Amino acid sequence: MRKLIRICSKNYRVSYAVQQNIRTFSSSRQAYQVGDLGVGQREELAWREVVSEAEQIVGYPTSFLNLRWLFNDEIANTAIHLRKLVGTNHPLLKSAKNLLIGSKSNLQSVGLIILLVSKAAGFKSLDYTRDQYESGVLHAQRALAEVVEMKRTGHVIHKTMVNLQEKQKQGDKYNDLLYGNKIVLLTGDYLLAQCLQHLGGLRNNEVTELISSGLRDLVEGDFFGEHDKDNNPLPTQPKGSNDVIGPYDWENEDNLQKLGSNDYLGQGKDEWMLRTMLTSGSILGKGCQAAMKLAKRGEQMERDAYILGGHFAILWQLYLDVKEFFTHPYSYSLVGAPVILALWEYPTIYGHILEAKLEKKPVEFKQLYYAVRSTRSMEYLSMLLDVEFATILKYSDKFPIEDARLALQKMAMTVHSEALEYIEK
Amino acid sequence: MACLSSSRLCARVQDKLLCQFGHKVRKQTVFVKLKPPGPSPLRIFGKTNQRATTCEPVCGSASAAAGAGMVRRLASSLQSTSTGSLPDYGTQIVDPYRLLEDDLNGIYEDIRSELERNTNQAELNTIATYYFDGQGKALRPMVAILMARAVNYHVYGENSALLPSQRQVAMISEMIHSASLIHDDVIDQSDFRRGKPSVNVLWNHKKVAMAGDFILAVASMMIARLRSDDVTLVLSQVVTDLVQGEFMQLGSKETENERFAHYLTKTYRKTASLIANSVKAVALLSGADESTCELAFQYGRNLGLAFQLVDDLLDFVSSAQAMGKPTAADLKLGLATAPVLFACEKMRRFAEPGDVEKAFELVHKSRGLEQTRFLARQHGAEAARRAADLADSPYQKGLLVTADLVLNRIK
Repeated sequence: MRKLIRICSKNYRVSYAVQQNIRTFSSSRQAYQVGDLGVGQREELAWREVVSEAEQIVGYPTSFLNLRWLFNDEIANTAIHLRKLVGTNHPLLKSAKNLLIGSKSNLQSVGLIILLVSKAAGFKSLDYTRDQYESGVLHAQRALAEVVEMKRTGHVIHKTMVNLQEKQKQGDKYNDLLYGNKIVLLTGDYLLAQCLQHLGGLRNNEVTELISSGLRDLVEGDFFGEHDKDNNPLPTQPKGSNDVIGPYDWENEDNLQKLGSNDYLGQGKDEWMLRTMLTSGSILGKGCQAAMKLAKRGEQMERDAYILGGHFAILWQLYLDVKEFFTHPYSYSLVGAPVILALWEYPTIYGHILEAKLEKKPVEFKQLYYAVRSTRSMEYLSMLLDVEFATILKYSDKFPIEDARLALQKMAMTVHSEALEYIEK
Repeated sequence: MACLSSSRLCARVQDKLLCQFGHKVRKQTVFVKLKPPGPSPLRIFGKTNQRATTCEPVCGSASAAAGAGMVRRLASSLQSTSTGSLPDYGTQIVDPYRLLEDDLNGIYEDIRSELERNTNQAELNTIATYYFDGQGKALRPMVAILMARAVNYHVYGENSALLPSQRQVAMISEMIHSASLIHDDVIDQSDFRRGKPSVNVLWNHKKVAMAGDFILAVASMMIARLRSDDVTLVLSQVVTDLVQGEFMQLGSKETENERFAHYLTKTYRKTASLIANSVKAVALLSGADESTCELAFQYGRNLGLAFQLVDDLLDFVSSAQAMGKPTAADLKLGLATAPVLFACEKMRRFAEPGDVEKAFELVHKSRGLEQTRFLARQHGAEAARRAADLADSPYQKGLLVTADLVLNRIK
């Protein structure tokens, strides 16, 4: 950790300068009055502006839930089935709402990021005919962005399955929940099947392999580490210092093979990094990498795109974890960065979790909250945020097309500064 | 595999003689299985033979192969489920599982290690490999490899070998099948499959759903590694078909007349598509021309339809013990299969308790079972007719026999 602090403070100066640059670039567009709003509302407005600006750069709105999909038979059917579920409290309803309205919390912008990276990388226009691209992005890359978003969505939908192993426990609700589960499973399967078919349509088997391995990693992430009886992930007991192995170096591993290893469990930041790579970094990084494959940008660019995508996901997850920790002090994720980093500094905090586990009672979230705040977890977090932001700037600078690159950096900056705001407040 | 040893073929002549003899001796039902339980044996005849010699000392003197053949013939003549044999194509009886013993050997192990290679999580590995324990019939890999060898023989002649990529397709077909079984189990809330508790009984349903996705992801990676655009397209169609078939099962808004068409389309998507497209994929990998690939596809489609029709038939006439899963299960779920549809010109929706039993009885009284059997037979015959166009080889014979086996199975 000491070493980390040093690295951070060095990087911070660099990143701060760039930040100032981007601030001047964007300040001219801030026409609305945001002073009176709370953090949540203000960020929402700022975020929407950044996103719509980015969408203009890549051509058109990027969510796959567009008009074309609403005319699709299966989706229309699903909508009918969904309506039957209203009033049953099935978790699918909540995630359907999130998907349709589109919130930052679901990393809805994976598609957008892939398109921005695609555009930022550019392609040799001689290799393609005029009808193969639009607004500087290949149609194949758009299809890919859609596939990645669908893959994530399909997986998110499958995550809303209700466990119905103990039939009698559910009582009257059993039949409703069972029906909900059917819809969850089928809708998710449908999206995943569509992904595979669309990937086939791209006629690039390297891309198909890469993106399929992304789904594998998502599932792996769901099984990573310990879980409570409701299948929520729990942190692993921090290791003794003798067992610590070198840091998890995701940038340099072969991403077609399984990622990381269970040896990183109980190792603070490494555990968090690996989990984040599995649950979101891998699919975003691989999406960006595959976009480079489609535009034949070469191995170095592919690698840079993967690393850029991965860091984007990590920065994003840091933001989400911080936000959740401060806005839901009674129900935040126990594997979020604040808790994990605190555990790594003061392993005794693990007692809160161990106690709940042994006595089979809920974790005392409020107590744990104050325990975490009494550590230097937040200090480390803001440094980590700075490091990630600086890395994103460093890697995105390798991409030549300016407007898309700046849009990417602005997105990163917004996320970064909002996360810091939560910590400093 | 050009030098096929004579022990792998059982002569039908002997078989017929003993069959007449056996008819008088035996009264009890004989079970013929496509594949018996047990860890390794992929040979049906060897096993049924064991049964015959232990429970029936009368034919103890009969030679092994002939005795087994006899039991098989017997079964087809005594069993109520029997759909009758297809016309004799002038073939000797080839046991396809034995013919492909070397190719099929270790196929489940290979699938398991492929899955294991892709995860660090013990629990995920356990759920994902649960149905790859070697207890399944391995029908899909068997048909895929059989077709691969038959087409290779057709295109390249006697000295052709099985391509590694074709064996991969066989593995992929079984993996896609298992992934869909795992998801089906959660949807249908079944308790047993292949004689053991099904996945949804043992594990959290969220984890089960994820494990299915995991198998699909690994299978997709394997498909992509074949590096053939056409094969990728053909096999990805299978997954879409499976899901759409499942959607069709969820609700039918069709009128009475459309129900049967609906059922057949659903059957194609849920069962036949996987077999048809995987045999098409191996034909494509073999480099066969378009008409041969289409032949393979049609063989698989008809075989798959026949297989599912017999499956629906068995749901009514077989015992839970023999199937390794509960029977009349579809009926209880309110799903109309061919026997019901044939029988149901005058049936209404389930409304009262006891309706399921009533329907079960009605189906037995009607000509539904008979008509289903007839339809299955037609598809089986069509599959055999297609296979007859391939160059003459033991594998081509195997394809004919498989069409027959599918019709005459009791499990």
